Order: sequence, then structure tokens, then C-alpha cells
Amino acid sequence: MTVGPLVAAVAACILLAAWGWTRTRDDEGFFAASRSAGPVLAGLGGTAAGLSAFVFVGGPGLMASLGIASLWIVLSAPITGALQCWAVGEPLTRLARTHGCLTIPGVVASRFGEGAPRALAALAIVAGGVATLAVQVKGIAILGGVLTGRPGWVSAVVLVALTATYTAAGGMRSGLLAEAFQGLLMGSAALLLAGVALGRAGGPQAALATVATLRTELLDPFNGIGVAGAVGWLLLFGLGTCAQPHYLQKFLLLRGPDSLRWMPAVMTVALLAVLTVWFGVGLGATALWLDGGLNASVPDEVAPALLRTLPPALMALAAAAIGAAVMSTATSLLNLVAAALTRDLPRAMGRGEASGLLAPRLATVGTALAALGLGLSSNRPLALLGVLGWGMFTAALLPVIVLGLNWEGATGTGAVAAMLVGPAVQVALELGSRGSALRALEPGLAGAAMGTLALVGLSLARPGRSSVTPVEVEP
Amino acid sequence: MSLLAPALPALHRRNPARRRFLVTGLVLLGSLLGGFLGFLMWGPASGGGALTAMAVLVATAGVTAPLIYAMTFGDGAGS
Repeated sequence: MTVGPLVAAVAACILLAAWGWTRTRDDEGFFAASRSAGPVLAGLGGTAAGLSAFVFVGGPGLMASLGIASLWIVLSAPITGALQCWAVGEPLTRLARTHGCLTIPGVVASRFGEGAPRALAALAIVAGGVATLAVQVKGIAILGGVLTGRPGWVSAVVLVALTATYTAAGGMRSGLLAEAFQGLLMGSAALLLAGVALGRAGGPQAALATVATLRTELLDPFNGIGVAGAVGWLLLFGLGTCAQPHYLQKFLLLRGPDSLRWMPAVMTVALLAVLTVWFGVGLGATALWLDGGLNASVPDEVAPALLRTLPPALMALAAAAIGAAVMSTATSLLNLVAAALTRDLPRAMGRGEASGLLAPRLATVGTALAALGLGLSSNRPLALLGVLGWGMFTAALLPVIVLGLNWEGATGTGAVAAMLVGPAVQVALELGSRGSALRALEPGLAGAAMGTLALVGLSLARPGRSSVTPVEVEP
Repeated sequence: MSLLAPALPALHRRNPARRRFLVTGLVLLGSLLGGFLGFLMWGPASGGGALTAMAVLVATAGVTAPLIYAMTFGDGAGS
């Protein structure tokens, strides 16, 4: 690969950082982009932040190993935009406006009271955020080695350094612009790559015929996962989007409630465009692999193997899209973790947060360094931390965000119990159920279900203790 | 405001918030159940029939869900 695109990307990131540094003067600018986003910016940014490099590489790999059963993960995509805006976007936007909340834990505190509710929500974001960042670092280190021919850690360090630079300088003012552009890049590249892969396999019908002839089971919609597993994936990734803080954050950046009206349309178009890579590259590369046209030893290698055969320009575009997927996810998570560390946890403990933007900027850089360290260290802790991503956010935040913000009867005691029980059940199932009958349970969903029971049970048992104190009113 | 109101006279015309909840909920639930039934009806025996069912589901839900949300936006305000 030539260095031209890399130099352009570095220059763009430095310009964006400089622009953000001069425009971001307060907490609202750093954490909420000065509430300047419309539906297009927020929709594109949210979609880009919510999709990681896994979509470009792991998705096609799952298609090669499980076949169309893997599509249960993305089958909810057409409705998740509307579901998010309807179930959580509206109450989040309303509470953010009423109480001046800049963060998700701030919203939780404004609904359930200061102290433990804010602290638990912030801790879930710190734990899940750093773990997800570390997994991204590890992923780009592996892919970077394949795509550039250089040591993988170089790609990881470069991408994280660039992302941390503009995120620390301009917070979400810079971050949102970058994410929206990255979303456009990811969608365009995904459509092109899917078309190329299916074209090389002779078109969708020919690819399907090849798979049907050589590996019929890959067309079984329940292959390898069963009905329970399929429904579990559908619910986890459908409902789970309502609990991912990097998605939810975008509702706090909107310039007004009316921006919600067309946000699902933007999110749905962007999401479906990016997900064509899962189906298109997955089906095309699988057909080529089964037919002997691709050299891969395991299913996970089919996407990298296909990328290696692309012309240089297309390969550069694919690398840029994968980099964009990592950077967009990292931007939001760096900002969320910095907010949790410098704003939410001090407030939850009764201390005022440090004034100015020095502390959140340092926290952004510190979080990036921690994620790099974790991601580039041995696989063992990473495997353990990997469970703390999507499933952790779902288990900890889904009951409180979806039910807690919409049900007037939910109380602070119930919310605290839900945020303790959910993650505990999820981690216990992830670590302790291997080889047992409990393995059939999806840990994130099971955690969210138990958290919901705790929220409902305690709220009904001790009613009337809900707090709607405006604890986060901006000056 | 709801552009769907003339077509849905039975859905609590006097209660926009509830109508919105029902319409949106029915579309979301119908999409999920439709997809699930599509999978069950068109298995591997049809040679990619499940993919056809899924494509129809994705296209239908992908258009209708955001459109219904936009058309009923504001019906539940303040509820």
C-alpha cells in the first residue's frame, strides 16, 4: 500500500483536532457537541460508532462458518433505529433538556437520584468501554498486520493515537464530525466490497448455488445455533442497541426533540448499507472459498483472504473502512469513559468535578493508553475482558434505560439493584457456565432479564421512592 | 398528528399516545414474527428461500418502521 492515503488521513485528523480545540470551550461542547447535531449527523455518527471492525471481518467469517444462521445477529437492523428513538431516544432527549444532562449516568441520576445510580452507570461504562476499546485494539492489530504487511501493533498505535488526538482536543465537537464522515465511508465501502465479492462469485444466484451444492447446511437458518440461539441473538442485538452508551450518547447531542423524527430513517439506511458487507462479502467469499478460489484455513480468514486479492485501490478503501469502523467506535467510547471518570464518578461521590477541560482531555488520553496496553498484551486477560462489551452494557443498562426511563413506578432502589444484579448474572454465566446446561442462556440477555426482575420487584415492593430531583442542572 | 389516523379508526382515535404505541409496536412485532416465520417456512430445502424471505422482511421493515415513526412522531408527546 502507498503512504499517500495515510498521510491524508493524518493531516485530516490533525486539522480536525485543531478545529475542535478552538471551538470547544466548555463541558457541553466537549461531552455533547454543544447540542448542535441534527438527524443526519447524529444518525450517521451513531451508526458508525455502533458498528465495529467485526462487521467487516467477523461477520463474513461467521457467514463462512454458520451460514445464513449468522444473519440472526443483524436481522433486527431494519427496526432498531425506530426502536431506539421510540423507546429510549424520546425520554433521554426529554430528560437531557429538562435537567441539562450531558452524560448517560447524568440522565440516570436525574431520574433515580444522585449517588449510587450515577456511580453504577458510570462504572458499567468504564468497565464495558475500556474492554470494548481493548478488543478493538486487538482486532486492528491483527487486521493491520494482514492488510499492511507491517507489525500489527503499528496500525493499532497509529489509529488509536489519531483518534485520541482529535477526541481529546475537541471532544464530541470533533468526534461527531469524524464519526459522520466515517459512517459515510463505511457504508460506501461496504456496498462496493459486497458488489465486488458477489461479482467474483458469479453473482448472488451462482454463489448460492455453489454453497447449496458444496455445504447445504450453510443455508439452514438454524445451523449450529438452534432456534433458541437464533432468537437469543435476535433479541440481544435488537434490544441490546437500546443499552449501548455509544448509541445513546447521540440523543444527548441533538439540537432539539424534532431532530428525532427522521433520525430512524438515517440510521436505518446507514446501517443497512454497512451490513451489506456481512451478507455480500460473507456469501461471495464463502462461495469462492468452498470452490477453491480463496486460500483460507479457517472461516475467520475468508474476508482477509478476499481483501488480499483486491486491486490496491480497493484494498486501500477496505483498509480505510475498517480503520473508520475502529476509530468511530473508539471516539465515542473514549469520550464516554472520560466523562464517567471526570464528571460522573466525582459527582456520585459528592465531589465537584474539576473545572475546565484539562481533566477530561487527560482522561481521554489515559483511557486510550490503557486500552492500547490491554489490547496489545496477552490474549488471556483480553478474552476475559471481551465478555464486558455489548453483553455488559445490555445487562447493566437495558433495564434501567428502557424500563426505568419509561415506567413512572420505577424507583432508585430498583434501579441500583438492576445495575448490580444484571452484570453479576452476565459475568457469572460467561465465566461459569461453560460445558453446563446454563450455556444455552445468552449471558447478556439473562443478565438484563434478571436485572429487570430486580427493578420491577423492588420498585413494587418499595414504591414511591423514585427520585426526579434535577441533580444536573447546567449553570 | 398522525397521517395514519384515517386508516386506523379503531386504534383509539382519541388517544394519540396509545395509538402510536399500538401502531409502532405492531409493526415492530410483526416484522420480527414475520422474519421468524419466514425462516421456519423456507428452510434449506428451498435452496436459499430463507434468504428471499429475509430480503423481503428487511426491505419491508426497513422502509415501514422509520416511516411510521416519522408519521406518528409527536403523537405521544407529554404522555
